[in-house]
Amino acid sequence: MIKDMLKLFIENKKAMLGLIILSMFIIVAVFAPLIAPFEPKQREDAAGEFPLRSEPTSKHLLGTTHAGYDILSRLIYGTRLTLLVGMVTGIITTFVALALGLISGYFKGRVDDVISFVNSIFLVIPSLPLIIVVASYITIKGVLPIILVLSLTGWAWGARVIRSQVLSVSEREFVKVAEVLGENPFIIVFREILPNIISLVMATFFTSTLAAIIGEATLEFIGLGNVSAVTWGTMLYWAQNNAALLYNAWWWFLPPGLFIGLLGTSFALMNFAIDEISNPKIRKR
Amino acid sequence: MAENILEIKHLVAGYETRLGSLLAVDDLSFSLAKGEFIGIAGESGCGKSTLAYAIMSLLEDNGMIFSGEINFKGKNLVGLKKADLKKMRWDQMSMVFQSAMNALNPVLKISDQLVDVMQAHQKGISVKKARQKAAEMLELVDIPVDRLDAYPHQLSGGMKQRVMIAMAMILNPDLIIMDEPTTALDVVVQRNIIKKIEELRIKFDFSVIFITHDLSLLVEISDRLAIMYAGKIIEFGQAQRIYEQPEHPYTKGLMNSFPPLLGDLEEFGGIPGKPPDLLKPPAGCRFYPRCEKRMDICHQKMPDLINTGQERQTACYLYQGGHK
Amino acid sequence: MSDPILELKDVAMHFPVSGFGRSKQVVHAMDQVSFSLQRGEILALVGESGSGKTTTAKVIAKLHQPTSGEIIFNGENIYQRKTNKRDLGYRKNVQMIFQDPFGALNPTHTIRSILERPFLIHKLASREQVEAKIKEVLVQVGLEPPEQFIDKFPHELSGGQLQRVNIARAISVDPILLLADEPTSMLDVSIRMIIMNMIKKFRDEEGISYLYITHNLAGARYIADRIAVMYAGMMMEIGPAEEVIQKAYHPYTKLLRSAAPQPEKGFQESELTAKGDIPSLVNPPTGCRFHTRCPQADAECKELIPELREIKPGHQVRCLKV
Repeated sequence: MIKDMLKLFIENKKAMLGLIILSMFIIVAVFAPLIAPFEPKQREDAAGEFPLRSEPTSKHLLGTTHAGYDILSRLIYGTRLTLLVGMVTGIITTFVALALGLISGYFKGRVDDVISFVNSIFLVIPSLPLIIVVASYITIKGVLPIILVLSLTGWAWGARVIRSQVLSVSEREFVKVAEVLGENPFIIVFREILPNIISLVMATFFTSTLAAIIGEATLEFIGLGNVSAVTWGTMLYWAQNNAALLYNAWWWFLPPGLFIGLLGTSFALMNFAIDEISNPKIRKR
Repeated sequence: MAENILEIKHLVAGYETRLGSLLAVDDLSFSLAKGEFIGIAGESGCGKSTLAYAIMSLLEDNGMIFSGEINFKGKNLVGLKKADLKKMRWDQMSMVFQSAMNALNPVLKISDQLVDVMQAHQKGISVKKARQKAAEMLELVDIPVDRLDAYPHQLSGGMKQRVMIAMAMILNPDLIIMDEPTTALDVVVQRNIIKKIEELRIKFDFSVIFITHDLSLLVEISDRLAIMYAGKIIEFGQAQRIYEQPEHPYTKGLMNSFPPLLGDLEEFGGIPGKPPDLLKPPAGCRFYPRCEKRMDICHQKMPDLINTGQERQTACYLYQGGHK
Repeated sequence: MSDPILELKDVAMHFPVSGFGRSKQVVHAMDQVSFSLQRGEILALVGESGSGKTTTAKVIAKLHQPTSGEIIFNGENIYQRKTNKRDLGYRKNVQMIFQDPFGALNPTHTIRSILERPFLIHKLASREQVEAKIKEVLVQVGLEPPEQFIDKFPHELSGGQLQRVNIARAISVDPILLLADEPTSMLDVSIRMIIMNMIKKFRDEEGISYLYITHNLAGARYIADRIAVMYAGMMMEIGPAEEVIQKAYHPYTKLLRSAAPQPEKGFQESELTAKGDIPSLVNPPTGCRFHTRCPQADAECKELIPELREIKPGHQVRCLKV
């Protein structure tokens, strides 16, 4: 069953495209030192200091920043943190959402009331202002706080969706059979219910990673992140701060923006594919 | 017998799948007289629903009629233009679906849905007239007129199914195909609906093709009965005669699957095994793998459906050449 | 008669109506349900959908705790026994077979991993013995050779084969009582009898008692020793199978009988007609629950809830007019 799904996933064109884009980014991130012409925080080489605010040249293919950093190199190195923050946040968010969704969906009762209440609060509060408020209260050094902030604000949707799916799966007869057999409730949750919501869990991971990438970029862009870190978000922040838009330095703001969009698209594509695979009504014959 | 309203000749219909062509209806012929009630019995996957959808030209996208003729009132429907078919549907032949209760649009009133059907086929009929007709039809199926403006969810399952029958009859068709119309309903409700159909059929003289797996019900209500197995009709004849003297081993097995309500209770057995995969049907008789009376000849060639008595046809070598 | 294996005394099951507001409305799924079941007996519970027959099975299976009444199994009230929450002792004795053979099997597991659970939960076999045990039950339900089925996924088997797997799982713990909730209604007609005969076989050979739920009167007559007829959450008639069919007392049983297909008779007007539909169980009818549709009902029936009275030894009817 799960094998079948993997096979369908690989056969799906959208999934394949998303997977290809993602793998390219992963390769870029892993081999950044080999691909990038310079270090991200390098301002000079043997030939002397880099020019400031340079337009694209044969040496600096995407020009340089106001501080003289090579933009292409920053873009390539930025992939690392962006991917890391996105995927780690995605994993944490999914894990929290899954745990809460399973507990409140299967055990119901008081536990469910409490979790659902907190969940509703987090759903009602608009997430961006919440992110901003939380982020401005803690001083952000390094990426860990960003991951925590994004995870704290990102789990609610997933938990709600997983809970409702768990509710419906736990009404299925095979769960009742397990109860009649006297099965341990935790085994019911992990053995009977979890395998049946795997596609939803994957979808939650894709959407929350997507949300985290965008959230991270937003935080960095408005300057609430760690502005000295090298990510696509901080690149946009510095570009904006130095009026790149004003003097039309597209090589500065367009590549990071495009990359955020492209990485987001890859997760969105895989998410669509999961939808198609797990919903036979959309599945093509 | 009166003239035939429907004549099906060598119909082959099925689906194109990734694994090849699936012939759900394979070389099937029969005819239906005006006002006649034919029952088609068979298990799931025997092609009985495909047959119904093929006659109505309502096969799904990957479904198609590969060959054969469907002559309805002297006109071959196979190859007819979509627009012409659409005109005929509901107007001259209509269908009651198995899940008819879910075929009603939940956000529209019953009256609106009935009026829509009429307006689509009778150009220029006024809403008032159409409503009046809708009310008449509901009365015919024993639904109080004050339910005319009810929404589907306000009606019980049996009532919804009766609304669907009213909708199928509203344009006064010559033929109504009913695909398991009572399967999802309780016995008492089923009985009421069957009674209603019988009453209306006598009154309006339409023909009925009634499809179900419930053989005991079919025997009771049909004039003639066709038993289908794996895309083929394997026995055909008058319902009571088939009940009293089933010929084909499959029919016998089916009859042996319904314990009676009255009379002796001997051992009832059913039929071991399962129907063949229609993507790879067995070479000979399709029932061969499950048959108790199989002979050598049976797995070489599918026996033809031939006359074995008065208005009686069976596709089995036991009745062809005295191997009895 | 010997002591019954199972006895229900005045069991009621009311479900709160979900919805907005603080309405205290409840669905009266079961009211005043009393019956008993002997060891090795098959009791058929017959009724239309919404009559409460499945709820009765679920209450006995400890899937719902009843609102009131007692359920006594082997001399003990099953809801007052001192036991751990999962009540493994009871679960080993009472198993249930569900209506939908596909739905009752987890699509993500193989037959092997489905069938090993009962042995492991109830510690009936060690890890090493499990495979042999699984093969043994597969043979018992006629899935031979077992090697051909053990590593299949549910979607690779037919409905009839899946229902055999379900039966195999239920009997693998050697239960005393099996609750069978319409085990054949979703199967193809040609294999229904095979499953019913298998159920009978386990009664004859292993002495398993059954509560066999069905809406098919003829099937109930074939399989059961006694038949109980339920309507709108209440027991209407209970007695020896042949008697309930041939000499029914309750008007509802008569109605069910005349509605059942009778091929031997050909189409004819049945003598009884029912008006209206099954009543809402949120506001069940006052008096006799059947009075809204009963051809014999009068003013008295609207007022008084009839008792389940013994008409003949072993034959009880809930009707004022009998």
